[in-house]
Amino acid sequence: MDSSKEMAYGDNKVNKLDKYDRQLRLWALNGQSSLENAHICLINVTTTNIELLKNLILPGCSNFTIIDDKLLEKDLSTNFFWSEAESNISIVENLKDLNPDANVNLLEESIQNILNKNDIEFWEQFSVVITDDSLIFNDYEQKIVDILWHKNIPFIKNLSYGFYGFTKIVLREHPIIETHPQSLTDLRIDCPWKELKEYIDSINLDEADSTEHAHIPYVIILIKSLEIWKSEHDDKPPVDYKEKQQFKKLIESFSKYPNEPNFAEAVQFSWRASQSTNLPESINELLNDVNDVNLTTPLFWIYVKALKKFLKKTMDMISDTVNYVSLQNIYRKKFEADKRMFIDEVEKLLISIGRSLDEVDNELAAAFCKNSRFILIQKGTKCKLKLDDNIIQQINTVANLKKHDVCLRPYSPEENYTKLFKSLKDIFKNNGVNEENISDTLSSVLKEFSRSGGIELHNIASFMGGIGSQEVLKLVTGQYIPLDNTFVFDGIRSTSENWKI
Amino acid sequence: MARDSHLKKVLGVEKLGKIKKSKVLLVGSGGIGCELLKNLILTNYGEIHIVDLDTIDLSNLNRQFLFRQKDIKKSKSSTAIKAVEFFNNDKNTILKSYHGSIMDTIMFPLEWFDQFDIIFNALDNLEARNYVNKIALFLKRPLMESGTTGFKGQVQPIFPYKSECFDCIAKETPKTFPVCTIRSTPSKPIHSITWAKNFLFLQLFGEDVKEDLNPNDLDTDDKQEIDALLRENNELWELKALIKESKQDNIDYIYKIINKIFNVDIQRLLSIDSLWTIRTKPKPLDYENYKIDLNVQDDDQKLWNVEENLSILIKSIKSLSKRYVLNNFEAIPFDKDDKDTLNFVVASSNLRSFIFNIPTKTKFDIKQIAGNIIPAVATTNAIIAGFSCLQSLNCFENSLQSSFDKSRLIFTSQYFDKFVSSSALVSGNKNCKECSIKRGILKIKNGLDTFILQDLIDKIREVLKYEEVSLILGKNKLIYDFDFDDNLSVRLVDIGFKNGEVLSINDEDDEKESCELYIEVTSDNGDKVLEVPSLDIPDKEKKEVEEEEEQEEEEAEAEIDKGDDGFIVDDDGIVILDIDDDSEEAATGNNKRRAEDENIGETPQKKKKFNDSIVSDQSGEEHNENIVVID
Repeated sequence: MDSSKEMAYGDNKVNKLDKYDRQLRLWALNGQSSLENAHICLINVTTTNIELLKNLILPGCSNFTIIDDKLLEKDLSTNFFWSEAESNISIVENLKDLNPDANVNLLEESIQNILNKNDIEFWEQFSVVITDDSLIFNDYEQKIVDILWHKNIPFIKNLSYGFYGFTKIVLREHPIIETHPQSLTDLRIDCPWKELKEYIDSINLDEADSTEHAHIPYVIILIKSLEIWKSEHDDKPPVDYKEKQQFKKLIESFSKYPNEPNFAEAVQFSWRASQSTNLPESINELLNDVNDVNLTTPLFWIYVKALKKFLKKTMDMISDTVNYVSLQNIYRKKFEADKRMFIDEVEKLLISIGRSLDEVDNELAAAFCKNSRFILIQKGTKCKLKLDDNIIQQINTVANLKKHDVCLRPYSPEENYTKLFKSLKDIFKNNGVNEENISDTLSSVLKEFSRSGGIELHNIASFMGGIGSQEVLKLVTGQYIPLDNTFVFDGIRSTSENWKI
Repeated sequence: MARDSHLKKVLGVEKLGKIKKSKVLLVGSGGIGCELLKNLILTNYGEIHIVDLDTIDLSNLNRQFLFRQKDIKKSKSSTAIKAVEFFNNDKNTILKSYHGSIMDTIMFPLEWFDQFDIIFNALDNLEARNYVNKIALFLKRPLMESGTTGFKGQVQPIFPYKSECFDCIAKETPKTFPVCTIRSTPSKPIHSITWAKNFLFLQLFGEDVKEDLNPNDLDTDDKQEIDALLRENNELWELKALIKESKQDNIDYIYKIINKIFNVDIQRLLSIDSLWTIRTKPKPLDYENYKIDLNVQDDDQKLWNVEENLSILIKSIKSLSKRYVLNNFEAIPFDKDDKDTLNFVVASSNLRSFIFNIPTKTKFDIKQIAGNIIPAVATTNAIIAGFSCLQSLNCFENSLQSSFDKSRLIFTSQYFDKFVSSSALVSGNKNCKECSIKRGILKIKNGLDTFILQDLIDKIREVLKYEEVSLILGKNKLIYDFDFDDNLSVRLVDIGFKNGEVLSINDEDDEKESCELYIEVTSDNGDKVLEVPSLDIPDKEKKEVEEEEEQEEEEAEAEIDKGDDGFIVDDDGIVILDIDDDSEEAATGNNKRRAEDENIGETPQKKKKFNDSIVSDQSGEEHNENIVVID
């Protein structure tokens, strides 16, 4: 984030925190600062992807490069920013006007030229590259994907035809600390550590008077109830529906007075007692995945490795604090102690590989600890066509016919249909499927594709622009879990599917 | 190339013709509204009327793409129209804007709504949504309902009396806290903030009425505690007098206030032993131990220490007192964008949290909680507006059944496995208080000051076949029942009948269903007319309500149990709670499809409770487009 917080626009000064307030609620300052440092590349202007850019310019992504050497010749009349009276360049000008924080450059150069220069560094400046399906000719798409894959820069293909929409993300590896799970709550109900256990043992439910009794935090009631339950059930928590109901009854049986709100709360959250504090499988996999670290290892992996070392020393890490005054100090102390120990591990690792301790950012480390049960590394795939008999997947396959040179825009509906049908038969054949399996539904879908001839309907373009831009926001902020990795939308039936292909 | 050539190709000439002839109403020109306006124009809708009561604010610009910084403070609806006219230079669509509340019956009577073929809701609050839903039911007009919260969004096409209406799905009511938790034993940040905003601030700068505290409302039986609270109240009243007499050059009164609320009152609470047997005792705060610096910065993101909180509180009280005196003691409303009121709430709630060992919060976080801010981002609005416009195309089918069959209810979420999900529409909930009853228009022509209530009741019995009725005018004004007949010979105008009011008719014998009549008052040179619509009111079904509900609850619980796999509960919508962790709170809803809204006001409350969603409608504050139903 701009350290001055304020930016001059002509004579006016605007507080960015106020301007972006509503979205800072989603990704905080660290997310916003990533947006402001991002450089977005769009290859080939379409209405869909102009809408996508609009949705990135508004929230404050700063740098954009649009590569298009045919902008002037295109029919962009479905674009909101287009006007009959002006040239297509005005679309870019109007985009700039959306947000004075944005810096939009138009590069009128052909992809062929750019690729011929063999200038890998050119691509390095981008945080993400977006395009439609126009690069399938001459294998340009494959070439660009190869470069980006190597540089670990995400590539997004986002397009719409008539009522159909398609988004695909190709990325190699995308680490996420803040995945924003539904809840970060970590109460250790099933395994209270020493200090918590001592505190809980010091509270006697029977001795409390009516006021006290109604104010015992529900967490304590749950831990005590679970302890008793386990002692009667082979040390196991309630598992099935029936046992969970019995467990609720057990909790209620400790209530001494009618309508005690804390007991009602304990019953309400009784399912937490069945949650195990074991490390999620996904984290175990991640820990097994970590290799030796060195001078160039991304900080994320250093943290993962430190977490692994940490976990070898103690059983687990507390990732949250609770709000009950009486309990919060116990939880908070444990959290702070765990965090300190974790940072120690990070520092030891950094020293061992000769890296600077300045790399440790306390806030990031705290975020890592808080999210330690939910961190994620998303691993992508490069295009591989695979077929199953799901109709929409077939559509998707059609939309993704890169090897078959199918681009709909320049041709007539009949030509399109013939081409599509032929390509589809080829795909079926290549995958060892009998072409008789091409269903009527599929051929009618092909007809719809052919009929639209690659035309974009503004409304669907706008929708797909929204979908694509949302994924870019997730990728650029490094928060939330992006689409993995293909989304297909059928606007005629208002249905959608996603797959990993 | 003309803009509609592509539409012709994809939609076909016939459908496009119908769209071009349609006149639609767009309610709201905020995040969804701006996007939707663009989509509707580029779908070639013939005429669009857009209504919004708001003006443009800086915090809108991150998503409401038709507005620029130079437009701040201007009317949203007219600015939106001007902006699209700049682009929409082939003028295929007739556009008209209104600056006003959609619930204003003088500006927007029922007959005004009647001119539209489809209504699009792009609203930010529950009250207006309920209202437009009701209008759609009266007119049997399709309604495209939509809303977003952060990355979540929803579109619900409503075909009145055919599909579920907006009210068929119960909406979550705001969470409330017992008074004693707020006043004597806070344990969470939200308790301190509620205390600061809904109690302390109101007491010092709110309406100038002394609140009589009823001991029965306090949710505590502790005699000592009740006495302490009552005394506290009287003393606050005295403090308010100090503010009124305050002079700018002397701030001693501020120290008196601070000493009372953070020291004397806490000492008094401490003396009640029964409160602290299990809780951690609060620590009274003596301002003399701290160095006050009135030049301290009110940083948004950093946690303030005690000194900073004290200094900022003093500064804000000083400034608020000055305003209060200058404006002849007119109440100052809390407004999250009013620096003084926000700083007051931030600093005083944090000081209270210090005292009670509760974690403090940043100004940024408290602003969200106290100001009821709903996160909003351009991308979700674009997705949802796209869906809303797409679903409206189903209104042009040849039959209502076909529209119903083709339409889809749509949800989006941040979780990519539930990225976009859609489901077929279902029929209305037979227990829905809105669409399970019949509706019609009560026409009163030239006779508002002639007809008396008896005339109306005679007509109701004759036409609607009720034996004995009770009548409620508007939200809750009882005007007649079997043992309240004072109004029988009073003229309708004197009872409060007016254009746009709604009359509810209930069967006192409980034999027939209720109904609602929209009152339409007109005048010309002709005869006096009092016309009750002829509606076929069905008999009440004997519902086995209780049993069914119990069953549902069981199911809902089972659903919540799935929380173990981590997919129940969305984070309680009212974002408020999730700052404090508590998705715990989230599990409270037992509706499988739960709706949320930040702006759920006016829930009748039997007991005086503090409302944590802190509905402060009076300030015209930002309510974002925000409703989400989790499937």
